[in-house]
Order: sequence, then C-alpha cells, then structure tokens
Amino acid sequence: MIEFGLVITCVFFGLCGVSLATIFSLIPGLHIYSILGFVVLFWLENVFLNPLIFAAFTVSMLIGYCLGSSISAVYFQTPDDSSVFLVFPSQKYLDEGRGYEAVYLTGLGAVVGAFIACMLIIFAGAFLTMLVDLLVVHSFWIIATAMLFVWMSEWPKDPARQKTRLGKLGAAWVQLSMGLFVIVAAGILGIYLFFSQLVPPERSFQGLAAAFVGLFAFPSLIQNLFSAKKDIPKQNLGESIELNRGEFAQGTAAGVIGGSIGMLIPSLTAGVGNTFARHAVAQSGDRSFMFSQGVSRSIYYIGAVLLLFIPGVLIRRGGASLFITMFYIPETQGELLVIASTVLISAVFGWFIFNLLAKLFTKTIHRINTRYIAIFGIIVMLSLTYWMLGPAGLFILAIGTAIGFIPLVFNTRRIHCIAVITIPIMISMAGLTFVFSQFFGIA
Amino acid sequence: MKKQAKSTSVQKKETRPGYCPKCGAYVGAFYSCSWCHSKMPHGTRLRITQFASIIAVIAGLISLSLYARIDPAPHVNIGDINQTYSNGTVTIKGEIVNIDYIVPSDESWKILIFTVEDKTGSIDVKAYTETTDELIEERNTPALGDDCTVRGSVFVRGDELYILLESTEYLTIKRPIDFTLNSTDLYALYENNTSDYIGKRVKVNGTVSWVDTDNSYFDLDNVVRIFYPEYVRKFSPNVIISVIVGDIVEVIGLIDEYYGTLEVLPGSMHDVEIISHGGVV
Repeated sequence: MIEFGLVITCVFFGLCGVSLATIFSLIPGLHIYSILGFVVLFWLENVFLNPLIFAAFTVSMLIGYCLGSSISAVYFQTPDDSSVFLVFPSQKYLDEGRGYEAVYLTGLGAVVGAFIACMLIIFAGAFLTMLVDLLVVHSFWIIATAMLFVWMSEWPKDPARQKTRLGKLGAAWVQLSMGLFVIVAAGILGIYLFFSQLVPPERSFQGLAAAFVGLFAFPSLIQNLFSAKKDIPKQNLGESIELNRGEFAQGTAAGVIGGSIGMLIPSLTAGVGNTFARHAVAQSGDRSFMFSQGVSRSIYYIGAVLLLFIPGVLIRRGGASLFITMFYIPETQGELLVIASTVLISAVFGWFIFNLLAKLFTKTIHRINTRYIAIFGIIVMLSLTYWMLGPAGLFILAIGTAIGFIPLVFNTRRIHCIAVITIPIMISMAGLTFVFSQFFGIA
Repeated sequence: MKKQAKSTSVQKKETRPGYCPKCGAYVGAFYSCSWCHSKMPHGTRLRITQFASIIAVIAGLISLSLYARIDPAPHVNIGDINQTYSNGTVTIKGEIVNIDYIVPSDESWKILIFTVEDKTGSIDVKAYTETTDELIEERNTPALGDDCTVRGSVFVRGDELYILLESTEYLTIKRPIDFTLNSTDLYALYENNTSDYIGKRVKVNGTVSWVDTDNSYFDLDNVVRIFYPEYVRKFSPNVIISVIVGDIVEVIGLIDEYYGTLEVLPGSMHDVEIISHGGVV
C-alpha cells in the first residue's frame, strides 16, 4: 500500500523534475542522461528518500527533456540520437521564419506521446511483456537488419551534380561509403567502450555519455561555431499550426511505431525506429513528420522507463531505467500507476513551461548570435564531461566528435552513429565478446 | 523599384553561404550546383574538412586502441564496487566461498553463481548457460576454496550487485595444495588440531573402505570421507563414482567437517584419481 503522502511527494518531485529539465535542455547539446548522471551521484550521497521519488523525478526529467530539447534542436540544431531526423525539416522551417511551428509541433507530439506511453503500459502491459519475450530472442538479427536497412535506405544525394556516368556512380558511392565508414568507426568506438574500461571504474554508469555527446551534439555545436551563418531570421509567432486530422493520425501512427521500436528492442533508439516508421505509414509532409518525432521520442524515453514498472517482470530498456534500477526494482501495480500519474501531471505542467519558453525564444532568437550559444554549449559540455569522467571522458568525446563530423561533411545520415551501441550489443548477443576483445587487443 | 528590389534579393541570396553564386539555387555542402553545375566557392574548404575529418577519425581510433590496451579491465577491490560501477568492466581477485548451480529438470537453461571474497568484501559472479557449458566442457569449473581471478561486467539490479562472466577465458582458477598426506596421517593431524585444517586444501591418498550406494561419498581407510558436494555432482551428471572398495586413490580436496566426521570435498569429479585397482566387490 502506497501512502498518500508518498504519492504527493512523487508528484511534487515530478513537477520539479519537469521544470528543471525543460530549462536545462535548452542548453544546446546537453543530453538528459548527462544531467541524470549528476542527479544519481547527488542522490546516492545526499538523499535518503524513497526510491519511488527518484523514479518520479527521473521520468519527469525525461518529459522536460523531450519538451525543452525540441526548442534547442530546432533553434540551435543540436540533435541527440533520437532527434537526428528532426533537424533537417526544422532547419527549413527556421529559415522560413516558422521555427515556432516546428517547436510547437514537436512539443505537442511529445505531450501526446507521453499520454500514449502511459496508456500503452497501463492497458497493454501484459501484451507488451509477451512481445518483449518474443522479440528478445530475435534481437540479434533485428538489430542487424535495422542497421543494414538504415544504411541501405539512404538515397545518394550528390550524383545529379556530376556530368559523367562514372562520376555519378562515384559520387553516389562516396556518400554511401562514408555512411558505412561511420557505422564501422562508431562500432569500433563502441567495442572499446563496452568491452574495456576507458573511464574511471567508479563512473562506469556514465561510460557512454561522452561518446553520445561527441557523436550527436558536439559536431553541430562546432558547425554552428564555425559556419558563416551568424543570424537566425526573425521568427513568426504563428497562431495556428495547421495540423489536420490526417496529419495528426499519420504522425501519431508513425510516432507510436518508431517510439515502440526504440522502446522495445535493445540498443535501437527512436531515431532508427523512425526510419522504419516513416516507410511503414508512407509518411509525407513536414508537419506530420515533426509531430511524429515528438511522439516517438516521448514513447521511446518515457515508455522505456514505464516498462520497468510492469509488475512481475523486469524489462530494462534505456539509460533512465538503468539509473532507477541502481536504487530499486519496482514490483507493484500501484507503483506503475503513481509513476504514470506523475508523467501525465508533469506533461501538462511541462507543456505550460515549454510554451512560455518557446514563445520567449521565438521572439528573441533573431537577436541572439548562435555562435555565443554554441560556445556556451561547448563550455558546458566540456566542463560536465571532465567533471564526470575526467580526461578519459574528453578523449572519448573528441573521438566521438570526429566520427560525428563525417555525416555533416559528407551529407550522410547521422543515425549511423548509433552503431556505437548496436554493434557491441550484437556482438555480445552473439556470444563473441571474447573473440572481438582479442581481435582489438583488449582481451 | 520592384526590379531593383528583386535584384537586391537575388544579390542577397547569392552572397549567402550554401547558395549557388551563379543561379542562386540552394546547394548546401556540395562541391557544385546541381542546376548549373558551377563550382561552389566553399568546395576547397569542404574537401580539406572532409579529408581532415577522416584523418581525425582514423588517428583517434588508433590512439583509443593504444589507450584501451593499457589496462582494459582494471583490478578493483571487491568492497569498492558499488552502484556507480554499473556496466563497468573490472577484474577482481579472491577466494570462492560459495557456489550455486541452478539447472531446471529440462536443462533448458543454467545459471552458475559463485561468491568471490577478498579482504574488502564479497560479490556474486554469474555465468549463464553457454558460458557454464563451456566451463564444464573445459573442466574449468569453480570449487569452494579456489583462488580465482574474474574479469566481467558489473550489473546492478536494485539491491543485487553482481559480475557477469561472459567468457570462460575471463575466469582463472588456481587450486593450490597446502599439503600432501595419506588418510591416516591426515586424520591424526585433524584430531590434534581440528580448526587449523578446516578450509585447507589437501592431496590425500588411501584405500577405499566404503562406497555409498547413492554415489555421493566414499571413505578412505575408515577415517576420511570423500564427499562430492552437490555442485560437483551437478557439473558432471553423467560421471559416476567408479571407485570400489580396495582401490587405492588420490584425492585433491578441501578439508571440512560434518558432525565430527573428517571430510575432504573434491572440487570436481576429475580431482579423484585411481592409483591402482585392487579391491574386491
């Protein structure tokens, strides 16, 4: 029996979590897992509250991140692993002065996604558990096929610029080869991260943070820093987002499919899931696309945590679940309902904060030099990485940045960088850890 | 006026980076325009950046490889391992103080859990089906009292903290023998100073004087009982005790006491060697 006082405390911490995360997520490049790492350390050393409160705080921070990072992803073009596809269409909107629409659509999608995630886990928990059992034995080839599909489904963008047939073929393959190069390079980085100890052992729970910042966020920050573009055009605070029923339905369907793939299959993120989802629902149109990105990110992040709360089973997906299981393992339906309630209340509360911030940025963004924001983001990320992981963290971040830079300069997909987790997990599932460790000299 | 404004707009578009200086089309990060095929002014810089990026990745991965080889799994004290070590790859050294081997009746899965203890604390090490099968096949199964070195990943699940053993290569077992005696000498030593010898490993020889019908133990010279712990019998379900009364055997095992009876617990079925067959049925 969960006491009413504990429920109220969870909701209170939830509101604090969503507020803080929405604001922190405005810092370009800052991933919520980096912040949560510090929360974990603080909680371990200073706080002796019920672990359910930590879970409520964590899941609310994820909602805040889904909302707040859509502002920074659109206005500062700093995606994470789940929002890489969002940047291109939103950049177009930004150039046309419609950044607010892009932010609003993604944020709205995030709130809808949080609601769907709660409903899915509460009412379809038993089915999802069966689905996870079914999928887990096939994870190896699902992940392998997903990576192959992500690579194969990329269309060559450069051939039209070449005059000769051979030139066109070469131009097409330069881009595709670079995609493969990124997959291999990120995979090797992942092998070293997973199968050896690069960071101080006592900070292992944050071992992937530096790589993720380097692969996904840092290249954009550096690009913003050095690109000639200094000013963002004045943004229009539109009164309507013009999302019709068809686009809403298509966006929701794509988001649910993409987010669910990320939520259910280990190591696949919403970014990879979205690649499938777009094909599955034959998605077209920017508005539906941006809305679906918000939905899928919410389902991916929040749904993965809620999976942990399904009573009677232990399904651990995503970094936030890992943080929660460092404190305790949820067991009862009551805990699931408390966390789901916290999610819903936090999502509504976060929406208001998000709206205020989105309007504030829309009105002022054209006056801000994005270079200063990029510098600020770089300083914050470097400081946090050094604080958490020491010089080794900065070293990993630098290598991740070099790999993450390839997609930018060769016009290939950034989602290839996700090989940093998919490849080592596939190797581990195939029972080849020792063979690869030996090959890479770390056995 | 309109014409002038249009011209200014085109001029502005032309000067914007990423747009073709000739036709004004958006080119982005490509060398040439897809419409008029004219080369972009940023082409050379882009090529240099592309080349530099590839070099940086290769150099970075080589240096990472060198760095990772220095100490891929640092040795840590067991007592230091806590929640923040989650997913870390570490090496621990210590003595095996407990063993659990769980196998369902249909043998569809197996879990081997052994507890390793050093001066600072203790932690469970888990091996799942494939690794356990390989350990049994390679005759590298752990036994109580073994000194071992384990390399694995730290897992945290609420209050449970354990190390996952992913390969048999990451488990090194040493079974040091403290002394070698015949069964009667061992019994004499044990009677004089019981507590000093409990937990020591001995190589003992003697003549089989009794064999249990359940095949879980046999006696040497009526003074020392050779008892196969449950995990040893489970590790080798198809191996039966092949000794008969009168055989002379040599056994390596841990000295233990069971309700006043001196026992020697072999670490595996292979720790019992028949020196000569000389018995009667």
